[in-house]
Amino acid sequence: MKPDPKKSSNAARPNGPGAGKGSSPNVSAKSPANEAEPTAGLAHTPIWLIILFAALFYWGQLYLDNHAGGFDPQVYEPYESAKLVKALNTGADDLAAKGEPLYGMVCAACHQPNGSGGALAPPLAGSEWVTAADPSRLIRIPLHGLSGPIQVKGQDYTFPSGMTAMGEVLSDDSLAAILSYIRQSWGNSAPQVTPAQVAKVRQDTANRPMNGTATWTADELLKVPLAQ
Amino acid sequence: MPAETGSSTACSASPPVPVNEIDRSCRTPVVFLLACSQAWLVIGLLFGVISSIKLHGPGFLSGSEWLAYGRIYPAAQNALAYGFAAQALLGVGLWILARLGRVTLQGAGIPIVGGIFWNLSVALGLLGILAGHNTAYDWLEMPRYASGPLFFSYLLIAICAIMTFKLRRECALYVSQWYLLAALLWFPWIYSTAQLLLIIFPVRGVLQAVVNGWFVQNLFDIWLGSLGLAAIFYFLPKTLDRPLHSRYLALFGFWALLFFGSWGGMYAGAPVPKWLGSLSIVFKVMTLIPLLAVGLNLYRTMAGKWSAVKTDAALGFVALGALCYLLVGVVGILSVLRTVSERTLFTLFTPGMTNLYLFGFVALTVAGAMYYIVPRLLEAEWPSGGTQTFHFWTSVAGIALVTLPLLFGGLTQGAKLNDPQAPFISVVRSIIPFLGLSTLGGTLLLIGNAALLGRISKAMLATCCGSCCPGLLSASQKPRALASGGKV
Ligand code: HEC
Repeated sequence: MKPDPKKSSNAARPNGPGAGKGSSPNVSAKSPANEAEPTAGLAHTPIWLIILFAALFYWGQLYLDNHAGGFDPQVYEPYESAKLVKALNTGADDLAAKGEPLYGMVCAACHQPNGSGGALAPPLAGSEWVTAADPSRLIRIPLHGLSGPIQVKGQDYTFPSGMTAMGEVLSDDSLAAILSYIRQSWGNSAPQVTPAQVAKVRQDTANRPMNGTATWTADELLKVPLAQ
Repeated sequence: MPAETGSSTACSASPPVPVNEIDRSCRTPVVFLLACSQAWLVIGLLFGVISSIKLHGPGFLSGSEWLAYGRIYPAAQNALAYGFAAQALLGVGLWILARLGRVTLQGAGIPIVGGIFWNLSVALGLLGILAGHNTAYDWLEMPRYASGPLFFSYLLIAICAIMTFKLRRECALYVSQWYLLAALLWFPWIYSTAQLLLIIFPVRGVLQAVVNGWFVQNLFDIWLGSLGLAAIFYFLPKTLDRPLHSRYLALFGFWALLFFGSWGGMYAGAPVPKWLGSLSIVFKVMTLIPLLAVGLNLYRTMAGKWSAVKTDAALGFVALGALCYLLVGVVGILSVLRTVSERTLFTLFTPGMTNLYLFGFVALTVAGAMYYIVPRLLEAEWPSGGTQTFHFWTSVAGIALVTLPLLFGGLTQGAKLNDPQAPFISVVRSIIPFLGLSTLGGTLLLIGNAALLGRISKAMLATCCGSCCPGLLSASQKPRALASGGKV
């Protein structure tokens, strides 16, 4: 039998007393080849740890009762309950607020951020096309585009290039949001346009292509009947 | 866990294998894994120091995109987690399983192959990260072409470990074996799940953050935690030469950790339904129980023998590693509480905790284990005690410096970030001193661990040359086994 491999100054101690406790009987702790391996004593888990465990568990339940929003997938920080979230959600989305950034991206380049119009497009602020109580004509403009001479606020405009059709790229929701925004900004105050209204117009004009080949003219739009 | 009562299997039939035979079977695979892991620790620290310098000196090494902060920082993290921590603890675990099972390492060639491919995968993964192929998931940054091989290399190592466990000659199970077995089975589950749900068939939107959080929680609290605890529970009683205080307490702590440690990982205020954050908080707080169970058990085991820490290097390192485990556990629990997390989230506090975990808990425990195992496996004397003292004190100072400044810096940073009056740039300026201190700490750790790496290489070289061409060695370099006429 070879002597125990190198002991560094700090390390190996062969079979210590006490180390054999609890180890299985088939291992002879005395054999020099069988260095004692660690074993565990049989002291009991202290009762205070169990009590603390129970107390923490109870706290955990209380915490989840108060801070988990009833495990409702609709409840996010910082709200406390589904009831509160529902109460705050009136269902009436603020379409105009959603439309503001979209207007900035899609329309403002021509109609200006303040709706004043200019070299590229007529004004939207104060325009009767925008604020008409029934939005059926208004919705048609961005859906299919508009060209030819047009009168806005009593003034005649002609823009050779006209306005492009955007019905293919803007969803009902986005269009409703943009139109609600222009109807409620810069002094305009008309009721918002709902996505359902946009969908209805899309349906009514289903055979009109939205690729810019069938833009409206002002005269044509004026023939579209309005609900009073 | 089946214990003494386990039905009789192969274990009771055959006689235990002598210790020196067990050690010889472990020599190549375990020393290989340990030496490589130490090399990754040095590489990880080097990357870590570079990325840390970049935080207060943005011009440093700014010429190369390969060394950009966004690449070198995750590279450091992955080198430390997979190259160093996982590999080192697996190596130690293999040896513990063989020793406790009183059986030679089964199929010792398998973990060598597994180890080689593990290291190649880590290297490939780091190259991928440096080349810009980062997956952008925390602690899973390695690209797919590295994480796949990594997973299969792991299976090779784990198969050897489980075979060694299965064919053990000693029936009675010890605490370390529970933790090792749990950890061995845990990793394939969490790693494959995370890879599948994040990389291969990615789930949508914030669900990715939820899966990632769950993975990180399990990676640290359960997997690396169990591997580290297995080593602590082995070496503390072993070097003290007395039994662990209580088996029941250990059992309680074990199951409590597996149950409570595996949930959560989300933080309060994340853009997910509120219950996810709250559930994470509750489960994290509950891990106080296993933490206390472990702490109490170790404390009672040490009782009355505290002075042994001074004379026994392995014990000193492992005991300090255990202390860091308890500390980082408590800090981690505090940090999830809503009042604290709203201040510490997205600040230096988080890397401070990670450092305490990796360099305090894991690296100190591994160092202790290495001081114990490597001389026995190499059957060689460690070269002088000077490196050991140097390594110990650079570690202690280094850990303090990469931890405390970041924790305190994180708290002040968080307070200022939450103050809408404080201009952002002044917040950034105010944390520079803390970052500087942590760079200093990282450098100390780097130097100390490079010294240890040198020392291991020297010992390996001595044994290696000693066994093939003893004539080349001067008498002083000869391993003692040879000098005393024993054959290797
Ligand atoms: C390419 C520039 C351009 C863009 C972008 C544009 N328009 Fe126009 N818009 C015009 C022009 C030009 C006219 C006048 C068309 C004509 O020649 O009859 C017009 C006319 C209108 C009119 C009727 C006239 C008025 O001033 O009330 C409305 C309403 C209108 N646009 C709304 C919009 C909305 C809403 C958007 C964004 C979805 C938009 N426009 C985007 C150029 C543009």
